[in-house]
Amino acid sequence: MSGIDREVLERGLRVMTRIRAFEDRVMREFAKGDMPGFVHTYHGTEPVAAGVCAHLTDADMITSTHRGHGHCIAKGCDFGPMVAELYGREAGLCRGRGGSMHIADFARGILGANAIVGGGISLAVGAALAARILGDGRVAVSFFGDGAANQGIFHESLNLAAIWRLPVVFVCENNGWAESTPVSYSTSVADIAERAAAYDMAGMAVDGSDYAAVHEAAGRAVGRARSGGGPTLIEAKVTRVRGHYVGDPEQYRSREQRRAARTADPLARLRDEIDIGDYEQQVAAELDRAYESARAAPWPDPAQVERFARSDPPPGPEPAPDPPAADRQGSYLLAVHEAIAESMRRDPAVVILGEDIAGGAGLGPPLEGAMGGTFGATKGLIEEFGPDRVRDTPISEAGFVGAGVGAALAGLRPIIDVMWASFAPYCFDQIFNQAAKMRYMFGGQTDVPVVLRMAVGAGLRAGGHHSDTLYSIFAGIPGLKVVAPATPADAKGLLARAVAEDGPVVVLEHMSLYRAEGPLPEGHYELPIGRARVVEPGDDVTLIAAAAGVAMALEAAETLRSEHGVSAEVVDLRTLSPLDVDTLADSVGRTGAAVVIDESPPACSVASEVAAVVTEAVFDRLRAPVARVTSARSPVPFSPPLEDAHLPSAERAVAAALALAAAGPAPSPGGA
Amino acid sequence: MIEVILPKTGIYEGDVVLVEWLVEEGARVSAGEPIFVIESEKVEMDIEAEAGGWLHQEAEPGLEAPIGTRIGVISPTEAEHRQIAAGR
Repeated sequence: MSGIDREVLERGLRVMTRIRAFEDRVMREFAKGDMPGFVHTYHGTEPVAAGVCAHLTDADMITSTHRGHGHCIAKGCDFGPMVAELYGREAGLCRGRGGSMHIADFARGILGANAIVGGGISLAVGAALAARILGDGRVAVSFFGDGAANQGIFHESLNLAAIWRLPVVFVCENNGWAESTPVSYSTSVADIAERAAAYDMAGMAVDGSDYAAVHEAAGRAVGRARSGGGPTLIEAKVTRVRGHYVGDPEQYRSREQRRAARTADPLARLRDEIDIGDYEQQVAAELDRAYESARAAPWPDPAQVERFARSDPPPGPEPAPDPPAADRQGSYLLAVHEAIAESMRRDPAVVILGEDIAGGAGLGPPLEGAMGGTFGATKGLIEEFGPDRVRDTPISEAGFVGAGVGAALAGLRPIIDVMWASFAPYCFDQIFNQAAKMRYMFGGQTDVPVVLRMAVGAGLRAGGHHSDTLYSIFAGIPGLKVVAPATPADAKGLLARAVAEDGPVVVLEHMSLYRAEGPLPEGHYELPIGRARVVEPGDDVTLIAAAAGVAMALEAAETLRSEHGVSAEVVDLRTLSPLDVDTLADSVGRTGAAVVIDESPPACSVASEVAAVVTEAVFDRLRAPVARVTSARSPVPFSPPLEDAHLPSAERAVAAALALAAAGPAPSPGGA
Repeated sequence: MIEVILPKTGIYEGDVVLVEWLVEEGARVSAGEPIFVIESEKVEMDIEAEAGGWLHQEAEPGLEAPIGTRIGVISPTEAEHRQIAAGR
């Protein structure tokens, strides 16, 4: 223990004492049965959180795990709001929305405990990316377990951090067990730290039960990160003193093995050497007060169950629902390009990242940037904004989407190009569990200002892996807003608005529309999210559609008018979530019939949701059930006749509308 | 003196069965030592003493009762234990 200041050791022992006392108390109180859910304690790992966080300031950021109490305490959280969170109270750090496994304290740089194994790793990479781009000297640290080192996101994240030389430290707390699976079985290397070599990164294995060793290793790693030397992987080997969770019967180890594990006490050595007086009693008294006030604290108001789920609209008045007048024509693709470029000019926090968005990354002009995105939407941007803000990524969807989300937590407003929506399952955790849930789970402590652009839609003979819409997948996630523009003017205004939004917005750009021309206003303007538009008025039936479906609806309306004498109103949804129920109810309330066109299979589709909300709103005005014209119940096929048969069409919309028109007059409001 | 209770283990909140005592009535136990076995959700598990001391048992194996039910006490001194065991 030579070479390390006694004062440092004493501070470390105090932090570890706080962690130990907190966890002992959690075990005792949890047994009583009034702490909801389940908890995981940090016993045996105390030197790791304490030794690493000793080098961090409140501005530095950490991501934590389901076993996160120790990280919070080492980063300086007060017991009171922590304990209140464990009891699900409004006074908790996350207002009771998160609980033990999702505890966060953004004021102290704690970007959240994460109950998804490995879920925090890419977020830390993104936080470090933000620190690098903003040049503010912050460092990010990701704590995770040995189990996470076998997740793909670990490998993607380490690679990203290495190629970008980011100020991030990866701290693997290897306690030998991923739940019940021993690391000897699950892991190909003896030391997880060896995996650093695969990413040309500094790696070191340390005895995680030795505070001085952890402190020293972490000091070097944090120093390297802060001075621009890039990332480090630290593997801290610790003993799993207790079970996976409090109350784990630990069938995977014998009574003797359990008893042996319980004797491991990484505080013992320092306790023998350093006198911290009555600090344990002080901590116990602090815990008494925290438990007393937590148990007496009020529950959250059940009427506020949806509070924090979605970001608030941007400040200021809502923009007009229609685009400004345009005296030029432009393509949907140009609209997307202009929205991105103008947003980047307006706000230096806006960055874009994704695969091939510049193309030829690192090769310099004229090769670098010549491609400008798979569809050319981002061409020219790297010349104007440089490689920091226009950042090509490896093909690591989970890694770079997670990095974008992490950067959004740390001061940037990333626009992430996921390329095809069919690739989104690779980054579904980062979208669904991370971006979409954070504001809620953390009780409104943070917004997640990130835009996810994806190309959707079939008709290009691209087959099953490049043609999906995934409309309902995203629209069904409470924390997301989802837009699917149909025109160049909408594509520009909705994307610009998405960037201005403080929460995650999924922008689904239909590939068949990229070359479509239409009126395209110049300059920056925004269109409101959550507003549908009547694009053609009519009296007899409402045709409801989004994106490429709007053209089908307009074609169907023309056929209905000219060939069948039926007057159809066309409503463009524009936003898939939240749906504009008022506009839908108003239209269908007048026409008494509705056909929804949706380029997705019908089960649990946006068409089904529209049918449900319309029926709930104006059931008494409907002449017949709402009809759905959707894709087939199959993956998108390759063969042209099959793909055509798979997709909805204007003809099918006409047939559905005629069937409704034959259903007779609307019921009279007072009943028969 | 601290109470020995049927504990909440994991996420399950239903009744818990006291399967067996692992130490005798009046035994001196140390903190962390397994002292009884419960069954919860059809899984048996050892429950460890929260503190060291002398154990007085107040429930028989086979008891099925809610989480939090007191099944014994641990006294910090043998004298206190004798008093409690004698019902005083």
